[in-house]
Amino acid sequence: MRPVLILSLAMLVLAYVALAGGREWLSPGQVWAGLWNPDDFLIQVLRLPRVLLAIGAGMALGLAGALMQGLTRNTLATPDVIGLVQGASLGHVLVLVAGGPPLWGAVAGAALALALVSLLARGQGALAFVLYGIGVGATAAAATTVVLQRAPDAQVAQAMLWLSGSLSRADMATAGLLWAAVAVGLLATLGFGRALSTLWLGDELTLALGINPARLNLLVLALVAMLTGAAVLAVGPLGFLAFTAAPLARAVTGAEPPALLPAALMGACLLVLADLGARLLAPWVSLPTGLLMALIGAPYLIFFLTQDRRGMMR
Amino acid sequence: MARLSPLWILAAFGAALLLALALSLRFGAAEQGWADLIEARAFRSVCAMAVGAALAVVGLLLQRLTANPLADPGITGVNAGAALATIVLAYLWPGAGGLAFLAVASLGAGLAGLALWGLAGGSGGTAALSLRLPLAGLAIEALCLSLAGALILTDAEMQARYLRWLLGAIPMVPRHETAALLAIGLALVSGFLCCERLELLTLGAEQSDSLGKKPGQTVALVLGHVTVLAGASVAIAGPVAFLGLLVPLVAQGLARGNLRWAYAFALPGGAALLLLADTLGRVIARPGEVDAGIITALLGGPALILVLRRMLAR
Repeated sequence: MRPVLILSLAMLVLAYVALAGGREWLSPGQVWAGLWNPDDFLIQVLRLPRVLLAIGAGMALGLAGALMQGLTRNTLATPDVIGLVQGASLGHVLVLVAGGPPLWGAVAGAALALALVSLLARGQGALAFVLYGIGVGATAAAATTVVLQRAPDAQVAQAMLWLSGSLSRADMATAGLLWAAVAVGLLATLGFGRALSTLWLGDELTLALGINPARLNLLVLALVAMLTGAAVLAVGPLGFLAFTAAPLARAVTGAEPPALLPAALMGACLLVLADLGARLLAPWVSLPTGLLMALIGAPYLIFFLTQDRRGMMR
Repeated sequence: MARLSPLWILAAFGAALLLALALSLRFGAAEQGWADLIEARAFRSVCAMAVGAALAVVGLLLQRLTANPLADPGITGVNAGAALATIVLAYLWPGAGGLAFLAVASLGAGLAGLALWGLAGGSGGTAALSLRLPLAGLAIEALCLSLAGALILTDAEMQARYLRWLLGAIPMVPRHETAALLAIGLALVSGFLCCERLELLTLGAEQSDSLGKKPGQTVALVLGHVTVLAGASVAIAGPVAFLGLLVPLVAQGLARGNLRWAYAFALPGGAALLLLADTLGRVIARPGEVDAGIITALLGGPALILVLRRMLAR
C-alpha cells in the first residue's frame, strides 16, 4: 500500500504545481478559488482540462504498459514500443477522416496492431515480439502521416498538433471519455487484483492457483487495447511513457512487480511533469509534450540496454 | 528455374531506373505547365537518385561487415546521428557552406555508429549483437531525433528549412547540396573498389591477412565510406529510413553472395526506389506532398518483418 500512497501524494503535488504554474503563477488561495469558480478562465478553461488529461492519459498508458510487461514478462513489450500506440493513431485518423466515433477507431487500431504483432511473433521469443512490433509501429506511423496529408486542410492543422503528442487541444469532453476508460481499467485492476498479480509468475503457477490463463490473457489484452486507444485519442501517440512508468515506479518505491497501480500513478506523474515542462518552456520555445517525453524516455532505454547486457534481451 | 545472367539483371535494374526517372520528371504535385517545372524536377531527381544509391550501398556494406541483415543506416541510428549533427551546425552557424555540412554530418554518422557499437555490442557476442542492434538503434534514433526536433522548434527559420527534412525529404530547390552530391559520386566509385577487400575479410581475417590485405585497414576503409555516404545523404535529404534495408536484401539475393554484383545491383535499385517513393509522394496527396522519407517508412515495416522472418527461421 505504501508505494501507492507515496505516488498518489506526488501526483497530487505535481497536479497542484501544474494548476498554479505557467506563464502566470497563482497563489494557493487563487488556485482554490479558481477550482470552485466556473468563470475562472485560467483554471477552468486552460489549466484544469490539461491537468486532467495528463493525469488520465498518464494513468492509462502507465497501466497499459505494466499490464503488457506483466503478461509477456518482458520490459520492452509496452504499447509504445510494440506499435500499439502507432496502430491506435492510425485507426483514429482513419475514422476521423471517414467520420465515425473516434474512440472506437483508436481502440480498434490498437487491438489490430496487437493481434498482428502477436500473430507474427507467435512462438519466436520475447525479442522477436518486440522487433516485429517496431516494424508494425513504423509502418503505422508512416501511414498515419499519409492519411493526414490527404485529409482536408482544417483537419490536418488540428491533427498535426495531436500527432506530435500535445495536450494543448485539451477539452473536458475528451477528458471525460478518457477518464471513463481509466475508471474501467482501474476497477478491473482492483477487481481482478489477485489474478493479475500472478502475471509475472507465469502460466503454470497461474493454473496451479486455479486461474484460467487464456481468459486472463484475453482480459489483459482487451484492457491494454482500450487504455491505449483512449490515451492516444486524448493526447496523441506519446512514446516512451508506457515503457518507463512501471520500471520507474518500482525503482522509486520498491514496489513488487507487476506494480499495476504504482505504474499508473507514475505514468500520471511523468505526463503531468512533461506537460508542465512544455508549458514552462513555452515563452522561449513551444515543444510538444511528446518530444519532452522522448527526451526523458530515450535515455532510459539506453540505460536499460546497458544494464541488460547479459540479461534476457539477447 | 534457369539462372539469369547477372548482366541481364543489371540491365533490368537500369531499365527500372530509367522508367523511374521518366516518371519522376513527368509527374508532380502540380499538373499544369509541367514544362516550367522540369528544371526543378531534374534537380530533385538527381538528389533522389544520389541519396537512394548512397543509402542502398551503406546498407549493403554495413550488412556485409557486421554479418547482420538488419544493419540499415536508419535502423542503426547512424542517419539520426548525422541529422542531429547537421541541425546543431545549422543552429550554431546558419551561414555554413556545403562542405562544412558534409563534414559535420559525416562526423555525426560516425559518432552514432560508435555509440551503437558500444550499446549493441559488448560482451554478448555476435548472436546478441544481431537482435540487440535494432533496439540500440531505436534508442539512439529517438534521442537524436528528439534533440534535433527541439532545436528546430526554437527558431521559425529553422522550422521552415528543416521541419520536413527531419523525416526525410528530397529538396526541391538547391541549397548547399553540391559538395554532398560530389562526395556521393566519388564514394560510390571508390566503394566499389573496396568490395574485393571486404569479400576477402568476410571469408576470414587470416586469409585476408595472408593475401596482403590487412583486416583492420579494410574495416577502416569500409567504415570511412559508410560515414561519408550516410553523412552526405543526410546532408541532402535528411534521415531517410529503411531504404538501406530493403534494397540490399533484394540485391544480395539476386547476386547470390557475390558482393560486387550486389553492389552493382544496389546502385540503380536504390536510386530507382527513392525516385519512385518521391514521385509517389508527390502524386498521392495533391495539392500537398508526402515526403519521400514517409513513403520509405511505409515500406520499411514489411521489409523489417521480412528480414526478421528470414533471420529467425535459421
